[in-house]
Amino acid sequence: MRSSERSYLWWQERLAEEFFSSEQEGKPVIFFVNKDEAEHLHSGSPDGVSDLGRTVSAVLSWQSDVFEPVVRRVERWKGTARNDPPPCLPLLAATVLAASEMRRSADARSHNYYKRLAEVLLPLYSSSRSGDHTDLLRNSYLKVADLWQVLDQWLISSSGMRGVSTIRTAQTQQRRRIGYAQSQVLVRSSDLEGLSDFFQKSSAGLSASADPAELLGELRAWSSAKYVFSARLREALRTGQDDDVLGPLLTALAGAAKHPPARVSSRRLALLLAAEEDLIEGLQLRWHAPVLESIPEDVLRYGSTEFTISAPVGACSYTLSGSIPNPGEVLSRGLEAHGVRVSARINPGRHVIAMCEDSVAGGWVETRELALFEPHLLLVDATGERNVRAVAEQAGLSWYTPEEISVEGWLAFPEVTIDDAGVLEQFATAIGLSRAASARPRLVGGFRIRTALSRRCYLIGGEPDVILPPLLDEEQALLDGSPLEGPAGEPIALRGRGLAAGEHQIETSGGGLRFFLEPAVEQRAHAEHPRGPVQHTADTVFLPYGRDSRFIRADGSFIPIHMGQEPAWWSERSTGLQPGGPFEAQVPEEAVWLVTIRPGLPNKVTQLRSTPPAIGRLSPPMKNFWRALVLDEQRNTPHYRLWKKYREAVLTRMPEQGVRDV
Amino acid sequence: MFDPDLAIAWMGREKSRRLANLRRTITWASGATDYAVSAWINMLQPLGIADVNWESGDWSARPFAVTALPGRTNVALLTGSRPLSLLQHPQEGLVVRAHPSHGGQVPLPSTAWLQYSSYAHLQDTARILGAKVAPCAAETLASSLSRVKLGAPVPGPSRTTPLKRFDRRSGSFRSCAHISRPEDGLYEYKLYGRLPRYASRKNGQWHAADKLEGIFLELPLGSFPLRWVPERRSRYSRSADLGQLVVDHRTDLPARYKETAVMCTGLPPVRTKDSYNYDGVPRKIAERIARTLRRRLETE
Repeated sequence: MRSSERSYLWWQERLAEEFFSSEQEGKPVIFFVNKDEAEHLHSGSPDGVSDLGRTVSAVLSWQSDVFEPVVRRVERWKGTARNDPPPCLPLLAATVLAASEMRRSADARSHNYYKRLAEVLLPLYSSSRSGDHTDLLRNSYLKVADLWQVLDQWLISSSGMRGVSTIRTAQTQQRRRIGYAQSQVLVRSSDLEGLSDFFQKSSAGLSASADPAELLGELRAWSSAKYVFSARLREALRTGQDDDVLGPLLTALAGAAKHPPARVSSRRLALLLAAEEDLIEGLQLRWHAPVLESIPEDVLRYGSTEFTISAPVGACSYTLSGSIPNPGEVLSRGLEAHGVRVSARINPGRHVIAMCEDSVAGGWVETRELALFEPHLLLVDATGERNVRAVAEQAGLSWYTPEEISVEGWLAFPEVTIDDAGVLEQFATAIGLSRAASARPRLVGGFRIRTALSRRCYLIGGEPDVILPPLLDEEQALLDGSPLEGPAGEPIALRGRGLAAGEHQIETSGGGLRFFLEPAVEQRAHAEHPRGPVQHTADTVFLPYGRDSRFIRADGSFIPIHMGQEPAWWSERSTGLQPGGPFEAQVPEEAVWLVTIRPGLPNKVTQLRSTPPAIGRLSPPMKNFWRALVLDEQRNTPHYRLWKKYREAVLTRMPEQGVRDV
Repeated sequence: MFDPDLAIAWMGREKSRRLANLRRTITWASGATDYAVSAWINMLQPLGIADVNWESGDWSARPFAVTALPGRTNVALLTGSRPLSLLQHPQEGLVVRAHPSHGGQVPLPSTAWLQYSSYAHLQDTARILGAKVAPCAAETLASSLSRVKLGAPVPGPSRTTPLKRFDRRSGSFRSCAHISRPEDGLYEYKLYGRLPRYASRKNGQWHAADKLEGIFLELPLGSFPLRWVPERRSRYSRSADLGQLVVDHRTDLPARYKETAVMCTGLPPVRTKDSYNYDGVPRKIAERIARTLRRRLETE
């Protein structure tokens, strides 16, 4: 069997199992496939099974009637017992994937849809004239609309045993064909619970013949005060731009809601391997699980144990606790874990795991696609190492010895960057990965903040660098609408551009990205401090460096205060600390006065205690010292009287002529 | 282009994260080598800015605080994650000294001091800055230093792991031939080819070891003394308390001891040809460091 056929059959079975198994009996089927879901479905596929887009692309007829090969498969299927879904599921899933890439309602024009479909399907031939793929797909797309109807009829004829059909389209000319795929991305399975509540209370009732406009009006009013729906559905309700598709879809869901088993289908948790560099322990494997909308927590059981996922409001990824699965064991044995609202499955038998840098996870995180110019980390087991080496040699890539990691039997090729589109395609195909549909700009480095809540928020002054993809002739990347110059594939600094706080946008034809800046200077609240560890006490005084200060006892003797120069390191290390500042001195118990002699300025006299004078015999140095003080009356100071008593008592001990005369 | 104070402000915003992330970010911002970035990260703890745990691979920023320097000089050091605005536009009494880099080094964060005239002034200024007033960090750390001792018993390296043994005479690690029963000493080995790990072997048992503490444990008691040089300009006892602690470059101070010495001024040590010189260290703190490291303190 050719590998393309093998891939197609694998995807047909995988999609049938996921969306149209007997477990779906009585439940509305939302055939929702976006990029994450497609990656998740592909994870654990056997070696050689390519991704959804490439798989479908390989069976299409790109030279003529594009979708004819799938139509022929379905025609053959019609001749069977039709126990299984029609063999067009991979193609229909790819059309939904393309619709999911139209992120905003404003993109919902048909031309944009075919452009996204061309990106998903990655046509195998290239053309110098842009737009050929889009035209080709548009011209043949009527057959896809027919295939949606075949799937719808099959679900109806199965009497709900394989799920209740929600396949509807718009009645408008513009979206009659593409509306089937678009209808499947408006509502997520997590919305069904809220919709079920709504239908129960709706006056339009549980009826497949309910009026779409009436349902839409009631739903808008009902949901306006609630926050129960996914972002895409909320946007559709807010803008009204998808009413032509959403109205019929709601009618279908209202009809399906009559059916009892109302168990909400479990959503897939993307439990991704992440790797973090540990300088001592080497590369460490752990888990990264992006948050699913409106599921803040759940407990997942596996084997005889369980682990919890939880995320605070606004967080991007779950925190895992409890018996967290061991990455090494999961790699060898796989994992099947089920919670009330989510489940996770990882198949064993993988040989190559590619990782890319993820700013949310703060390290390397598993990816299903390789991108041009982006560094990747490849984890390989022995088989994977042989494959990777062989492909690398064939593609002419320089290669290094892989490093050991903490998981037995696995090695890591760090920082694999491919800068040639052809080599990337060859390399990705050979190791069972896909390549990114179009190279988009990406950010590297930066002082990133709010890591738990936002993907791209940085401090001003620590703006990241941007790496641009190769641009088309005369195409220019834009930063906030202004041209952004710089070579493709190399970091272009966003620092030093004077970007203001707030949101910024980088745009290229391959896609854009937004990032946010916040000022580094923040207002600080004045904190209250315990007054304890450092206290001013009456036992210490602050004195200026380089002045003559002394304590005076009651007997008139003085205690010199050692008041050396400022520490030498102040000037030797060019600190900028100013000489002339004060230093701290201990007050002796017997000190009554503190005196500082200031040349050219009045003396500074401070009373420390109220002890009366008891002047004894004064030594010559003491007399010399007092000569400068006895004439200082310290008028108009609180200590004038006591100071006068001291001066008079000293004078009785200083009979020298000079002083007496004065 | 690299602004170390912005990096510290960023760390203050992030509070704590993985070391791998910090290394990546500083490498990106500075464009420096891994070695230079590791040296920069290694100084964050001695400078009182963040706690760095290489074992667990985490860092956490310390809260913004002011702590008096020893020596009653009425100078307080700003530690922890200082607000960027304070360093860019210092208010009266605040003195900021930047540390330009030399020869491929990553510039260290600025040192910021507050010169105060009284405790009330210190308290009031700290309140306005939004900082906590902490007791003298150098004295607190010095009193908490304990004598270096053997770590807890650990399994030790596998028999096939290449080992390097610390040579007491040269003060360096030398490869030793693989032997099934290594003799007592301090050993260096690598796991997964990453950063070196250290373990001490004593009486046939392996013990956990920090490299620098292990070296001081291993060195003979009389060797590699520390030196303390009093400030020559000082003529009076207050300032004469202070001096320069000189440590042989082959036996730099272990992390806690280094932080104690650095907190005496807030300045990183000066690297000379043969030594690391720590300024403004009071003699009693120098003695405490020497005694707990089982070294003699030589004075001039």
